[in-house]
Amino acid sequence: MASSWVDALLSPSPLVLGITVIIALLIPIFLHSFVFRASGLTTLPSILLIGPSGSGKTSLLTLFERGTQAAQTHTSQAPIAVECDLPVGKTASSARYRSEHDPANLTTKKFLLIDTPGHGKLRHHALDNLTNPQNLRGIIFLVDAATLSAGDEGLRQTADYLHDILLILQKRMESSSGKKPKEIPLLVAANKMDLFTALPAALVKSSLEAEITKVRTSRSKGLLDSGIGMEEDGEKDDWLGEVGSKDFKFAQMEEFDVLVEVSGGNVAGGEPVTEKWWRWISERL
Amino acid sequence: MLDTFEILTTSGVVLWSKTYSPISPAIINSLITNVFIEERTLPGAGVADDISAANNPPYKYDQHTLKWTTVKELNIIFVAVYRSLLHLSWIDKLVDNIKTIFVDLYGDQLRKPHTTVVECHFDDYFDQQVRELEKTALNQDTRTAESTAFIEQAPISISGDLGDEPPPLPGLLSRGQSKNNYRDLTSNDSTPIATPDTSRPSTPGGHLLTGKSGPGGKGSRRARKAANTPTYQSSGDETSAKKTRAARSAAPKKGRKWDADGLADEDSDTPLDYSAPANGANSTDGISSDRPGAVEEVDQATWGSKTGKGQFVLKDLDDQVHSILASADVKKESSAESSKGLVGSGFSAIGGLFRNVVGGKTLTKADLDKAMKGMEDHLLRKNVAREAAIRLCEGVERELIGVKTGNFESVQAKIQTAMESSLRKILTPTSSLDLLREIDAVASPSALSMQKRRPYVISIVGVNGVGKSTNLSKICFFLLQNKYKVLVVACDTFRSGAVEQLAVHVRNLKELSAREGGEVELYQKGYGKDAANVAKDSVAFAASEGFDVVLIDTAGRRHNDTRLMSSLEKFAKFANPDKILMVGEALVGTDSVAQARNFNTSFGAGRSLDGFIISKCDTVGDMVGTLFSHKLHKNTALVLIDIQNDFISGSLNNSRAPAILPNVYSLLDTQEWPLIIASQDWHPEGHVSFASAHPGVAQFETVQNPFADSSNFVETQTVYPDHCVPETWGSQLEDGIKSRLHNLEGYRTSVQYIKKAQNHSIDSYSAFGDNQYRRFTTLDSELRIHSIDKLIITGLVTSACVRGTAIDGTKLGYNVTIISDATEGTSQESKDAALKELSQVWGVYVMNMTEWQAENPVPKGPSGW
Repeated sequence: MASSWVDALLSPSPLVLGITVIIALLIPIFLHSFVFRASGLTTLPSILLIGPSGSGKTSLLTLFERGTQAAQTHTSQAPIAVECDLPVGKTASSARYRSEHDPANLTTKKFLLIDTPGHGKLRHHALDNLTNPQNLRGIIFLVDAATLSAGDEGLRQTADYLHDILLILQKRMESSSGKKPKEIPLLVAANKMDLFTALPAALVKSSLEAEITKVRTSRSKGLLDSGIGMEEDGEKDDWLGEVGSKDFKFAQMEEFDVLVEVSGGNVAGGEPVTEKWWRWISERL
Repeated sequence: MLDTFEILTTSGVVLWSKTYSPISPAIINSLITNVFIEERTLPGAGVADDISAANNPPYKYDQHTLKWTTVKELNIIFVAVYRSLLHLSWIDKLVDNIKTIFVDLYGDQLRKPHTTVVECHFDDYFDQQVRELEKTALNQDTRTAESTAFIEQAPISISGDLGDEPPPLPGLLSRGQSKNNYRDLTSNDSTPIATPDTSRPSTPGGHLLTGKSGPGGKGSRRARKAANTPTYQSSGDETSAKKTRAARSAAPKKGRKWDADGLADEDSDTPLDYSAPANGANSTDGISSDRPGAVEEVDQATWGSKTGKGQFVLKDLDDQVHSILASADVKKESSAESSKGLVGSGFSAIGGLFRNVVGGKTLTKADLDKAMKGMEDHLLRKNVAREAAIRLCEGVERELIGVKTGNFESVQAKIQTAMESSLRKILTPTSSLDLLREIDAVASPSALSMQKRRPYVISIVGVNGVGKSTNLSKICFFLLQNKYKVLVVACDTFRSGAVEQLAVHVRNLKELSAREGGEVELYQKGYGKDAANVAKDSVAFAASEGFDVVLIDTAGRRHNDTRLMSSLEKFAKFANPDKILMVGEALVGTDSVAQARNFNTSFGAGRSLDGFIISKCDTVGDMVGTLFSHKLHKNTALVLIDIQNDFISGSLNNSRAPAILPNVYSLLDTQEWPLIIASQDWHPEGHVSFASAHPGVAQFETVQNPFADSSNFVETQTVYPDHCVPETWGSQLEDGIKSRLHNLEGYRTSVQYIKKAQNHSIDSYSAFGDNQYRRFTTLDSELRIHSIDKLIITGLVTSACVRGTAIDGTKLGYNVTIISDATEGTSQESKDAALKELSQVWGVYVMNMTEWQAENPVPKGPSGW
């Protein structure tokens, strides 16, 4: 009978009392473990590593993970995310005002470094990461400074890739209506500075800018109509940077909340020099 | 010997590596890009999960051979690199064993997320494996080879070399080998022999051994060993250079026996003892009495060295490694067995179903088979070439087998995503396709770079009639819009009218360039020249005249015509185009794969196609549910030549002719054609080919018929009885043919009747035009209207009208096939001769009905209507 069930449930028997107490105790714990934990800390701030194949992304990743020495690497086929700690002496910008001994420092020092394959066929991994970023704090675009001399195939490919990335970032800003998405700064890390043929960071910047200018103009020259007197209007969707500008400058990206910095360093070869990159990362966290 | 062994993850981090002699990282990188990323593996590369390295095709690069295997679940790759010159049969086994051991030992670490660090101390395990496998391999070598003298000498000389490290090795073992290896591998060989062979005259191998044992161990065994070595050494000293022969012949035999008894077998002494007297008996030297003792001691020395301090660990390692390998084997077997058992299969089936819903199921080939079959059928229905479909499915299968499905993910969903990513991978270009920038880089290089300015060369190839010239003009238009100076080169020096056609394009483009900017010129050298030379000259011309881009149009060629295709190699070498593009028709469908492959290989080694232009996409639609036969015949016309009553049973009756009728009927009944051509002789009375028009000339004799427009040329005309006079019974098509065509025409297909040779004074064999090419029939234009590029010719008479039509067909650039038993001559000889000439001189395909039907199976379903 149903009423007997109801009776049993409502009668102050020790069993029922026990069950209620257990439920009452468990629910908060349950809620805490599932709701709170799932939303909060699990997504570490992440930094994305992008760049053409052979620029040293995976090496940089292993260097940052291991601290002293980069591991030997080969062409990547799959992206990987690695948990890294800021080195001693670097504080995340969000923890600037914390005390040295604040235990929270331990967590603010952690971030995820996401490596992506640079091979032409596998760049969609990187683009996926860009289009729906999870707590993405910045992008490091690695370039091989030794292959960026004028007329080099490497420069063309690097500029192509960088152009595409910047365009995605720009579109992301333009397309968003209403709430502005979080800004994603980009660091052009000129790697392999230890090599003799490497260009200094300033030159890397200028040659990339010049090459991106070329990419931009050639991209804009799609198939046109053959009709006379056609007036091109609009269609500036795929134009990177300031509309109407003659030369592309990284500074033009600031309009779209994309701060581009260029700095040099090297991952392999004797003593790794990554001080500037670390500083950049710590400022983003 | 092995150069390098590496264990790396798919994300590119090397987890562990062992290098004997350093190799360029480019070797492994090229393996990754070519095999894993671009999937240029040979078809049939291992599909199953955890396949052994033996089933993966070895990858060769720059004198190195790479053997590899993968573990999908953990995303790791095992690669062994060695010199291609060496034949190392044990590498496969090594790679597999290392895989098993490594996964067993460090699998847990590998599964950890967010890290690339794997703490591993793998060197010892690896060394142990190398040693073990190398030993068995050497063993097998000596045993299998019959010529003992040579083989026996080989390991000895090696071991002798190994005794002192510097000298270069003959090849079997690399010099970078760790010392441990030599000791274990060769100790019992090397110790007695090292004395004479090595370049060190004074110190024998024994010296080395004492040196080793000195720091060696401390236990009782070491004492025993220490006790042994001096005796040995003395014997070594005694056995000086002159008795090397004996020592040499003795030592390897010992070695073999010892090895044959097992690896760590402690009872191994007995057979060796047994062998020693035999050796003694064999050797005729007086010192042979010393030998047994030497043998025993050497033996013990190795044994001892195994249990010496440094090797103590190794002994444990051996056990550990063996147990790992054994347990892996057992696991494999048990899984195989369990799937056999009734209860087991029942459980696994239920479990499988459950996991199929919940996820977390490890995919096997059986799971995928059904789904992949469906996918393949779907692709085929969508007009993907069978080969491509199979390849695609194999790729997906290879990717998926051994992968666990995610939470609440069904197998189908997994396959779909895998297929999607696989397709995306295939369709994403490796390098950028920005043509304009490439042209800029070549045609106007930056002042800082050292490159010299030169024109950018694009050449276009393809089969006949796919639209090479048209697409070339389109590209040219695009370039002109971007203000380039373009040189169009006519390298079709073969087909008449090709140069003029291009000239028309260029003229129009010039007009356009007047208002759009840019500049365009035509470069042509007329007909009959070697295309490769024309191309080369044109590039030189363009360079001197400051053109930015050179566009080369080539003659259309059938991809299976080896004669024409072979000239492409020279062309590629001479013109050296920056880009070779192939134009393919969307219409062609599945044949395009064969086309592409043949064109791709035709440029010789080191050059391949750079891209495709797919033309006529508007004609295809989405091809759902289309039968193959439709597509197959889309651009093929059936041509029936002169199957008229007069040629069969009338005035020119031919007893051989009726035999073709059943075959022609069958072509008409069972296949669908977009266009059927039926030609008829249509002679006015008193036609030049009638004997009655030439008084005094008997039938089947010849007369000299001067050309109509120039009497300098004279044509030899055979004269026949009056035949095929319009509106007579003899000029009608044969009844069976006639009624069939009447039923088909206008409803099922279009039928064109070509009534040829109506000119009073000129005969016309060919259905395309008369014998003096004064007047052409509408046949060519009809074919063009229907975008036909392939003709199937049947009919009468092989040596005259069929031959003429086939020749003109090839001249006009059609792909001509003759069905040999659907055509007949007046005699077997004349038919054979004509077919031979057509196939050998004119490149016409000749096939019989059976071959045709085998190539073009009749679609199932109702065949009649």
